[in-house]
Amino acid sequence: MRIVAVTACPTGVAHTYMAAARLEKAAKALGHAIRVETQGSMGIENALSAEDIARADVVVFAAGIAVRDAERFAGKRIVEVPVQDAIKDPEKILAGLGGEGR
Amino acid sequence: MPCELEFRFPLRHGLHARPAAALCAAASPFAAEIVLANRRSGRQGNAKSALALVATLTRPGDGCTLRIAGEDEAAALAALRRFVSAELPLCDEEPAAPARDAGEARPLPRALRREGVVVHRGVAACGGIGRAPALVAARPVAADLAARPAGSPAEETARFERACAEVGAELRRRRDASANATERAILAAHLAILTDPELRAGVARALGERGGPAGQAVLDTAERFAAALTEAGSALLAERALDVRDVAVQVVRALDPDLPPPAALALERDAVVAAEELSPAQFLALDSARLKGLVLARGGVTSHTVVLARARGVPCVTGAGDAVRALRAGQDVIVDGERGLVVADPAPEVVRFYAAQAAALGAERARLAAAAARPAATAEGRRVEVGANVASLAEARAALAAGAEGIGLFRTEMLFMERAEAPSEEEQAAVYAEAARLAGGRPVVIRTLDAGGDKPIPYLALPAERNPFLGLRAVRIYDAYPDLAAAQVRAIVRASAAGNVRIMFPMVASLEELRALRALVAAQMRALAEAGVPFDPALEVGVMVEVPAVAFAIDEVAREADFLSIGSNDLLQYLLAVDRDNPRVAHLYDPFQPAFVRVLAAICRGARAHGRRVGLCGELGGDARAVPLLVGLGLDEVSVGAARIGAVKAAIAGCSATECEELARAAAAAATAAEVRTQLDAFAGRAAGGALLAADLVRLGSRSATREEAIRELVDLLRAGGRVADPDEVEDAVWRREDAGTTGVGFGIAIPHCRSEAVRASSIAVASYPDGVAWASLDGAPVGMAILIAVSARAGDDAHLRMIAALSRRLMDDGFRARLLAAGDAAEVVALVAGAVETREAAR
Repeated sequence: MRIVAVTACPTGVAHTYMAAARLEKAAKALGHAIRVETQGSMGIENALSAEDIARADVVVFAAGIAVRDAERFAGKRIVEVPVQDAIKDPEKILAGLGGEGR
Repeated sequence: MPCELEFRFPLRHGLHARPAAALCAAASPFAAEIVLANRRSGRQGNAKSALALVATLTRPGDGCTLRIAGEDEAAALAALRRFVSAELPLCDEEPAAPARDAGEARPLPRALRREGVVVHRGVAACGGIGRAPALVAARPVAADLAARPAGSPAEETARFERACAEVGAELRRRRDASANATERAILAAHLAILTDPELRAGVARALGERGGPAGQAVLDTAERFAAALTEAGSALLAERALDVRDVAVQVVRALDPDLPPPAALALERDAVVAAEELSPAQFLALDSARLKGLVLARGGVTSHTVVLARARGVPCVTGAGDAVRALRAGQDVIVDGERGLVVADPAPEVVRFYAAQAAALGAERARLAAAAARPAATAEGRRVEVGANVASLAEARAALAAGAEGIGLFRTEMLFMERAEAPSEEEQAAVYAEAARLAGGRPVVIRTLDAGGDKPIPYLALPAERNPFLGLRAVRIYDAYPDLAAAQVRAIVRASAAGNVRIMFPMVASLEELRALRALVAAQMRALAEAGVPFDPALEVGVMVEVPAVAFAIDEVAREADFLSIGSNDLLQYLLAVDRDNPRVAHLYDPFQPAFVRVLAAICRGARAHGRRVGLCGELGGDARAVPLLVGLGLDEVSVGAARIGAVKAAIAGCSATECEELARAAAAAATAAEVRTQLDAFAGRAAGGALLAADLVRLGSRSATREEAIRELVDLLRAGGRVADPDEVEDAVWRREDAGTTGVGFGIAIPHCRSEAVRASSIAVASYPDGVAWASLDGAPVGMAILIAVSARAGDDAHLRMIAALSRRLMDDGFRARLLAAGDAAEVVALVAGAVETREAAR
């Protein structure tokens, strides 16, 4: 499964990056392809390209706040989860996305 | 036919003074008898008496009935119905906060926000934390009124009415003149108490039944009402009791203006002294060893009593009228002179919090004491002498022992106060010479008498003035008292034979004055020489620069003065036209106004142009934040209260003179005080060092037992490292993040964090907890290590943000976490974190 994700949190200092790290690692272990954009204190990093988004099977928002430029994901299937959940149990989130691992 | 109006009481603080006064005002125009009955408490009271209304103990949501009976009852009912539905619900609106009410906006540490903790706010006047039983200085009326002569009950009632009218007029005048909504509301409530029919009737009854002086009847009656309010068991009502007593005292003062002032205080054991106000003489009479703290209702942070308290290191909160009136003798009380707080009957958590704070302060003081023992110099070794401001030989001795490199200001007023006539030349010469001997070659700058204004001296018979700070004071009185001036100058000249003495004249405003004073010194030298009395003919004659005009005549003055010392307190109050003792404008008294910085710069430039030494002997010199600026301006010396010597020396040692000079140039070019503050904070942040984490920010094996304590401890680590400008702001910011969602991310770690203006330099602090700390973690497990990330809100700190992001990612790595949790010492933690940050950097 191809996944794109956006992580963000209220202060953008720590949780954003921890959630990104957790999602990346869990996806890799489960054999998914994932790209994670962080919207933290340094602004948008690892920005998802239009192509990334177009090719993705599913979009994950792990954000405690509104995701910036959300219109980029119009028409995609978006799964929204609390940023804490992405840190606590990313495997569970990925399992809940449906679809097949490669 | 009597009618009733039922309603549910809408206000969340119950029926306290403000809504009671409003209801009273709504009911009073009508002839009908109007009674408020509370169906829950079963109490009822005359609706035209604010006190009776408050005594119904009405709480939010209580069912209430207004019973109205009398000829105009229909009109009264209509008016009260309108009042209850439209006005009453708005009576609790918080009055608009004054522009910058001292301490009001500052967040309280979490430990003080617990349910049931009563914190009185005031102004932080002198740092430190003190705890002891309260000693409440006698209220303004302590005399035995009953023994005073009294007229007939009718005469006494008439006197009482006149006194009430007088106090009422004064309260109305103050209410109408006040620009502060809170103050107006309080004055209006006092006015309602003064005109309360039940209170008046009580006094009239007491006079009719028992006779005696009106003052006693007023106190008795007020006490009866106050006791009823206090017994109600509500803090809010108890405060109203204070208001009732307050008003009664005002009436008694108006009745008997000649009442003797309260007696002197004697400390028989450790105590926190609470007083409406305290004169410098009263303060000095207190036993310093037993005085653990001072709580004052009146007096700004630069009033002389407070200046003295600071010199002695007594924790002091001023502007704390509520606390002074609420404290009971013997009550356990903590004075937090750091934050301007007074906490009575502290709960165990509060005691623990303050014990930790006191320990942190103690460690800081130990560090400063070490700094105080070294000569003051910048990082490059440029000397900036740190002297002490003293008012007596005892203070001089203490200051010199505490590391003072001289006496930068010996105030001589104390020698002249509290006595029937001026001290003789002999007596003065002995004191000054002893100071010189104590200093053992270090300079002693003796300032001639600076009387007038706030420092009246009885035998000088100086007339009361409307504006004493602009009146006949300091050197301006010397023409009127030539013998006194000559005797003091001779005494100082004679002391120059005993050591390194200098003479300094206060409040010189012009070159003419300086010339006249120099002539005075020369004349006395001639007289002494003729008499064969030894002295140092090279005695330096200096000017205390405190009149702004001197800054604009600095070229001429510096040419003819041997040295200059900036009296920053008065210079600033004259420059900004702000009475530093007036609490209503004290917030405008801002030494970081660019105009003031420019004046300081001009004085220093002028002094340097003529090769004169220039010092500064005001409060500003003791402000560690200001030190880099003062060093940059090129001061040769700062003179401060003995308690500040270590802090100032440490601050100087942390300065690079060249960088400070740049800072001073930038500050003088700034447009606003806020800009100057930002520059100073940024400077301090850079000085604190660039590394995110250092060993001094790591505490392994912490005993913190709760999340609250753990966060505070981490913040205090940053504070001790000089990383944060305001630890309470940082703590508050961290808690706002915790409240939005725990930072206990699981895996046994927590990553509390914040981004705040109060962070000088982005930093990380780390603590480990062998016993675990509950952090409301995502996985429910206790936390073994917390990593506090404090990010500076200043722009341009992307490098640090990037490192923190990298560290956050690394913390999700099981192996990295395991190594971190297993780290044996602080250095290992620092190395691991540095490695995590660099690895990531290298990978980019």
